[in-house]
Amino acid sequence: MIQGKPVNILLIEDDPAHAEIVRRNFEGFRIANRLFHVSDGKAAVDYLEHTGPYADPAASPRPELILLDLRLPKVDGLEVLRSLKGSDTLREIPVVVLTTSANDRDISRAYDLGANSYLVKPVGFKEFCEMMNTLGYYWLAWNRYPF
Amino acid sequence: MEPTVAREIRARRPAGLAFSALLLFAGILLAAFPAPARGAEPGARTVRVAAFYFPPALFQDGDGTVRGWYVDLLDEVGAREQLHFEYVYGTWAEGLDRARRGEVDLLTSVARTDARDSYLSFGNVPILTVWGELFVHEASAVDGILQLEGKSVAVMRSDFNGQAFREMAGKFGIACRFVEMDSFEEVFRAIDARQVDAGVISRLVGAARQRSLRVKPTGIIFNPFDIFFAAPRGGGAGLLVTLDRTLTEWRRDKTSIYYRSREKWFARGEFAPREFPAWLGYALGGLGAAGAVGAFWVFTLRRQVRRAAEQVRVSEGRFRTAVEEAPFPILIHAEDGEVLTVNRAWRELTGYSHADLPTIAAWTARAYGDGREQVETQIRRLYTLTERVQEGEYVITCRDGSQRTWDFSSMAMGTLPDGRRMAISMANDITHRKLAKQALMESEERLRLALAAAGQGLYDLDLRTGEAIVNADYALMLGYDPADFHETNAAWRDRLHPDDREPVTRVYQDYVAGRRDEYRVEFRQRTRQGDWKWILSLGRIVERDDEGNPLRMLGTHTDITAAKNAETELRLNEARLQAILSISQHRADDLHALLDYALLEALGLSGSRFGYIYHYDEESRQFTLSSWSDEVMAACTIVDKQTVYELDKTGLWGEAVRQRRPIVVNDFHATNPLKKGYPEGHAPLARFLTVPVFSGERIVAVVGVANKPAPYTRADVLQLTLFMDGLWKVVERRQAEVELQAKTAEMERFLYTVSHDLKSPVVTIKGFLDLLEMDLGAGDAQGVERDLGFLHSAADRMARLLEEVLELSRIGRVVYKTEEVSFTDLVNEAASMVGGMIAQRKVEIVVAPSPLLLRGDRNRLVELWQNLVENAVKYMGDQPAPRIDIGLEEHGEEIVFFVRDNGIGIDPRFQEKIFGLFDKLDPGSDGTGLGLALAKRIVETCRGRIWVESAGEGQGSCFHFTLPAVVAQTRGES
Repeated sequence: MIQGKPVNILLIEDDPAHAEIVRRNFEGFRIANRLFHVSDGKAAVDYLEHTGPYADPAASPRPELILLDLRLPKVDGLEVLRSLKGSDTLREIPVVVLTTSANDRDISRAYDLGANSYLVKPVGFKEFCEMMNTLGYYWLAWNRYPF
Repeated sequence: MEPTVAREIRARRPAGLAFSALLLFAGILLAAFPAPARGAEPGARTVRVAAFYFPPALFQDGDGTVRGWYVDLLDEVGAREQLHFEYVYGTWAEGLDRARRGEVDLLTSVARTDARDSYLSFGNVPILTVWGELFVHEASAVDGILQLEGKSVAVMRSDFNGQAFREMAGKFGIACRFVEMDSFEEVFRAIDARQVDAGVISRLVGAARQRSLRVKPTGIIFNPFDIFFAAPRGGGAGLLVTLDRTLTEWRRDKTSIYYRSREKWFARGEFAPREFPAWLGYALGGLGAAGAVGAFWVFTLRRQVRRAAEQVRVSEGRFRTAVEEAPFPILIHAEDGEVLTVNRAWRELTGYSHADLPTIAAWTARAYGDGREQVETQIRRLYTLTERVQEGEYVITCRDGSQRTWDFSSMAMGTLPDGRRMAISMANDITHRKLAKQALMESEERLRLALAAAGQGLYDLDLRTGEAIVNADYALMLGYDPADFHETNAAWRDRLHPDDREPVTRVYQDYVAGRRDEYRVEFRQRTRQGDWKWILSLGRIVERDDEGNPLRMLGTHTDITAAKNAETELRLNEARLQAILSISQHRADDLHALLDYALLEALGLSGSRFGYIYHYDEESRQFTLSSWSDEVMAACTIVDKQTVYELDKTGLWGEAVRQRRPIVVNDFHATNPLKKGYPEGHAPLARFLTVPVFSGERIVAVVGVANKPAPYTRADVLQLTLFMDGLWKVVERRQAEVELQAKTAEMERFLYTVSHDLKSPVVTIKGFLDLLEMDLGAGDAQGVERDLGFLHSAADRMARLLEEVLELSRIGRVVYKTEEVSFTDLVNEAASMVGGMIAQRKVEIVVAPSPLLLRGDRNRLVELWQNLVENAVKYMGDQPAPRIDIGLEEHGEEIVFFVRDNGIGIDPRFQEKIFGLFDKLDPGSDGTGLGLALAKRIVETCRGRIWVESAGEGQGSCFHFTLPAVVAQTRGES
């Protein structure tokens, strides 16, 4: 199917257990990918702007997809989203919000700020895996990017 | 008078008299040589003349021949005009009848009347001017018309003189009995024979006839009139024209037959019968002529005297008419008791006729009944008086039994001809005035009773002396005993309220001086007890002297205190409701702004310049500033302005709380034991009012206002109290609103937490349970161990979250027992609760000792420090020498607690955020995010503030907080 370089995914998630679940799902995925994980908003911004500990572009490559939790320490997920979509260089990167909040206000604010998709983490593990699988196919196989 | 008149007559008349005497002489000569006998001229027209007894102008001789002055005149006319006059002799009345029937052609001596005009034509030139005179018997005493009352008077039938006399007698109210006769001769004879008391005779006849009979003229003459020739209507017009022309001609010529014959007939006094022999006539001629001159002299003199007497009589007649017609009662009486005159007013008012009151005794018996004797005595004194005397008021009884009040005055009136003295009594009928006065007194009495019933005060002020007579209600209204209350204008002025004195006194003076029309004022009077009463005073000047200066003022006092109070209260209520309304509508951003605005309203309502509103807490006995007026801020230069005060350290302004009632100080400079003075630089105070604000039984705030230009009054206190009560209801409602909003927001965040953070561990647990299963199936022991680690962690996290959510909901809702605990004990207890963590991270805890005591919920306070220490430990980071300092600082009156660490610090951007629910800055830490939220809730329930200071990441943090509600003692103890 898709050949070449593995797809870079940036996971922004403060809960290590959740990050582990996501990591495991993408680990065995048929499409080659590399998952990079940061656990707060500030780290995410630093990663994308290659500042602080993420100054080396090789160690922290520009992602083709961003999975973003909303409730983050230090800098809120929505703030991260705002700065991403406000950046000329980063706004083309699709951002999928992946959160436990099904709050209407969160959903509408996320789309207002330019989120490309909004997914609520299912409570059941099976459903979680299914969602990750579908998400992987959709964004890694079928979706076309401008870059 | 009499001699003067006589002298005048003599002085004026000599020439006239001499001339008359000559004429008379000539006349006598002519009479002595009479004209040839008359006979009917052939071809002459016959004119029938009605003749009657009217000597000397017309009379029948002893042989039936008609002779006299008229006959001479008519003979002359007949000779000129070829007329033959034939005399039809009869009475005067018969002559008129004959003329009416056309049986005669000519009448002589006719006065014109409307009745006669209907059947007679009159000549235009009068024959003579005549008048009537009253004749009496020569022995009669009657010489005035009034003496004819009840007497018989003879008149000739159809005589104009008789008619005139009747009218005159009627005017004088003299009741005479009139006896009609056929001729003047019969009248004379009746008088002569004393068949009648008097008789009315034409002056012409009387003058000619009186000397032959025992009659005399009374001098009562009346009604001069002209007599004419007259003919029946429709005939004789030419004859009347002829007679007029002839008379005119004759009367212009003193030598005409008119005058010659008149002198002949009249001067003779007695007309001689025609049958006197001629020789005797000649013989007597000379003698007669001489005698006639003398007789004429006497006659003329008499006539002059009589004319003068007549003038007197005429004026007496006028007087009598005046008396009769006077509009007030007049009685003329003689000293023997005879009532001479009772005038019309007297008769009409009393109903008595003169006949009812022949004597004074008759009058007094009728009018005074039992009181007559006293009146009679009074009357007897009148005849000797020389001046009019005011006898005073008497009540008389009228014929119909009614009573009248007469005010009598009398005077003596001289003497009657018979020597009796007379008096005239006049009365002023004041019955109506009396009744009106009585009615006035009755209405005054009714008014007085009505005013008394209404509790009205009455005053009667003598404007010259300033003394006033007042009624009992007047005194009672002012709190005085009516028995010994003495009112004067000065005392009244003294009792006026100082604010009213000037304007009210001005109105009073303006009214008395006539500069204003009405006296109606409202003022406050100090009562005997010293309080004030509002009084409405009305007044009117009721008496003035001749120059118009006011003498007496009458008026009322009405107590309008209740109405005035209601009015004032209404005005205050309106202002207050307006203020509260504007506050409830005020869109203040927060409570503080609302109270600032309310303070401005309170200053406006009380007219004050300074003010403040302090919250008060009954538990901590502390005041916390809410609002200060800008002017206080500007005027107050105290170096260290406090915003929190302890009740026990306050001076006067804390009294409102200590006494739990409003405090008024209108003289701030006076020594006051409650005053503790104010610090250097405090805004200067002159007057001060402070009011506690209650919510239920608790005092929740105090408001103070100061420096109103006028003293604070009870109305101000009431006003401010009610305003603050109203205000506080608004404040409490606002507070409730704010709290509700905060609770709602918290609830939303709580739900959010449940939907997100609480779900997180569930997702983890479910996920790792499956992963655990997979790892177990694959026999991956390492994976299983890791999976179990995640599962434990998630379950712990969940348990802690649930516990803390519960705890959070309890704060502020569950009230624990309040107890006193020292700061040091609290901190040590809190540190021991997190002893494990402290030991694990090797954290050094340093507590600055303080003797401060706190009063509050001990467990909650321990929890506060515990959370802060726990937070400090958690965020210690990689600090090699972790240390936490715990202590307190004093900033003025305020105690500020701190918990300082040297851990990772906080980016200034996040320093507000950390106190939110579930906000934690480091995902790597094991906090739930609720610790600081809990701390904040506890501080807030103690009415304190909490904030964090940190220079930034890696610089450590210092948490500060205050706890005003639980700080019981401060530095004073140290």
